[in-house]
Amino acid sequence: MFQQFLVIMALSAAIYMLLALGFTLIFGVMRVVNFAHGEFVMLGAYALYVVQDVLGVGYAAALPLAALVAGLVGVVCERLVFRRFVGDEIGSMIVALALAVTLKGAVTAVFGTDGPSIARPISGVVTLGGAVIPKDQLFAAAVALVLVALTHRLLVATRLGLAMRAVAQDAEAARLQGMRPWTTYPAAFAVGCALAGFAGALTAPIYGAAPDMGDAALMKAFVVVVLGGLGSIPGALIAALLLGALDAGISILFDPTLAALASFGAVIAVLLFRPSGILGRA
Amino acid sequence: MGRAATAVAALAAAAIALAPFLAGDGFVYHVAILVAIEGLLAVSLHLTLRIGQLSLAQGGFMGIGAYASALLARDAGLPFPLALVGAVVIAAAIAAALGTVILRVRGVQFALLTFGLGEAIVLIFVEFVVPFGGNNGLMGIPPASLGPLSLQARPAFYGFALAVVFLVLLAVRGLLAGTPGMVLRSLADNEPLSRSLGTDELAWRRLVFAASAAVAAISGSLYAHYLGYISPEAFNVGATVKALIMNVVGGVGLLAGPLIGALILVPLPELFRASVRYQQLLYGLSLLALMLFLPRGLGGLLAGRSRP
Repeated sequence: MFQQFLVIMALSAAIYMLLALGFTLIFGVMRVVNFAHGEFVMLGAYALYVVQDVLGVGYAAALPLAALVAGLVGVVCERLVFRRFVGDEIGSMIVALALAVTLKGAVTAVFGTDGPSIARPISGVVTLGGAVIPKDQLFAAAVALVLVALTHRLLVATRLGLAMRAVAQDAEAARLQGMRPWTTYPAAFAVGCALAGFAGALTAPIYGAAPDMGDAALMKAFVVVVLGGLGSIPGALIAALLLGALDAGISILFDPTLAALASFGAVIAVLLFRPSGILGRA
Repeated sequence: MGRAATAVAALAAAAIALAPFLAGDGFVYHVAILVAIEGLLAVSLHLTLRIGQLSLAQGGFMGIGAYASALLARDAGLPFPLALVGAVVIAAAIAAALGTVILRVRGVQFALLTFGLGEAIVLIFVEFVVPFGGNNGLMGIPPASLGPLSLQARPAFYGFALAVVFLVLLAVRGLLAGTPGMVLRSLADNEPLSRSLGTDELAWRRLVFAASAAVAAISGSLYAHYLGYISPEAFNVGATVKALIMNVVGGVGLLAGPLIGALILVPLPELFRASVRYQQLLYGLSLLALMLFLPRGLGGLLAGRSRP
C-alpha cells in the first residue's frame, strides 16, 4: 500500500512538474496567466496522434515533433495575440481564455468531439519492491524529469536563459542592459508551450486525447504553480511533489473528488496567507 | 449619448424585450428565458469588473443560489418567492464573509483565487451527496409560482424573468450611480488619496462583491426553477468564462454590455446547431477578433466616443 502510494506520487509529480514548468515560465517572463496552457497540452497530444498514428512515424521521433508543433503554435500566438496585452493583467487573462476556446474549437473542427485512438508504444509492468509500475508511465515520468532538468540547464547555463531570468526579475532593467523583450517573450512562449506539448504527447498514449483534456491539465498546472509561487521554478518543483503526495494519499484513502477539493483548498489558503507561494517572490 | 439617442436605445431595448411575446413561439420563449438567466450572471460578473477584480467564482455563486433555492423549495417546502429571497441572502452572506478575506488579494492572484474557489464550490456539490445529490444533481425542483399565479408556462416565466432583469438593472444602476459608485470611482482614480480621506475601501468593495453574488444567486434560482433539474457542472468556471465573454462582446465599460453580450451569444449555438462541429471555432475566432480590434465591445460601438 505504502509502496504503491510512493509510486503513484512520484509518477504523477513528474508529469505535474512538466505541466507547471511551462505555465510558470511564461508567467515569470511575460506576467501573462496563460489560461490556454491546457490547450497546448492538448495540441501536443493531437500532434502525436497525427505524426505517430496517421503518418506512421515511430514514437521516439513523434514525441519531439509533437512538442515542436505545440511550441510553434505558441510562438505564433505570442506574436499575434499575447504581445498586445503585455502589462494588461485582466486583458491578457481574458484573451488567453478566448484563445483556449479557439484552439479547442479548431481541434474539434478537424478531429471531431471524440478522442482518436492512439497506439500504445510501450506496454507491460515492472515490479519494484512490492509495487507494480506500468512501464509506459515510468517512461513518461522519466522523460518528464529529463525535460525539467534540461529546462533548468537552459535557464542557468545559456545566454537566452540568462536573458529570460533577467526579464523575469525586472523587465525595465533588463531592457536598459540591452536585452530585448521581443526576443525573450517568443522564446519563453516557445519553451513553455513545447513543454506543455511534451506533457500532452507523453500522456496521450496512456490516457488518450480529447478536445477538452486541457481543462484537467490546466487545473493541475494551476494548483502547482500557485502553491509554488507564480513564476518560481524551484517552487513549482516542490509543489508538484506536494500535489502528487496530496493527490495520491487522499485518492487512495478517500476519493479523487476529495483530493481535488483538498488541492483547491490548499490553493486558496496559500493565496490568502502567503500570496507569493512556497518559494515565490511577492 | 444625447437624449434622442437614449430614447432610441430605450425603445430598441423595449422592442427586443417584448419581441418574444409577439413571436409567441415556445422555442423563442425558451431562448429568451436563457438570455435573461445567463444575462443576469453576466451582470453579476460585470459588478466584480467594476471593482477592478476579475472574479471567476461567479458561476459558483450562481450554483449556491440554484442549490439553495432548490433545496429550500423542494425539501423545506418554502414557496418559490421565499426560496428565491433565501437563496439571494445565503449567497450574499457567503460572499460578504469570504470577501472580508479574499478581496485583500488583488490582480492576477484574485483571479486565480476565485478560479480555485469556483472549482471548490462545484466540487463541494459533487462530494457531498447529501444534500447536494453528487454528480447527479437535484431533480424534481418545484416550478416557479407567485402565490396562486403559476409561472410554469413559458410566457409567464419569461414575463417574470424580464421583470427580474429590469429590477436588477435598476438596483445595479442605483448602486453604481449612488454613493458606492462614487466611492468606487474615487478608489479607481486615486486610491491612496481616497483612503486618506477615510474611505474604508474594503467595506465598499465587499458590498459590491456581495451584491454581485446576490445577482448571480438570482440567476441560479431562476435557472433551477425553470429547468426543474440542476447538476454541478452547470456552475463551473466554464459558466463564468461564458459570462465573461458576454461582457467582452457587449462592452466591459457599459452596464448594458453584459446583456447585449447575452443577447448575441445565447442564441448563437441554437442558430449554428447544423454546424455544431465548427461552432466553437467560429465562436473563439470572433472573440479573439473582438478582443484585438474592438476592445470596448459592440456596446462601446453603440455608445460612440462618450465615456460610459
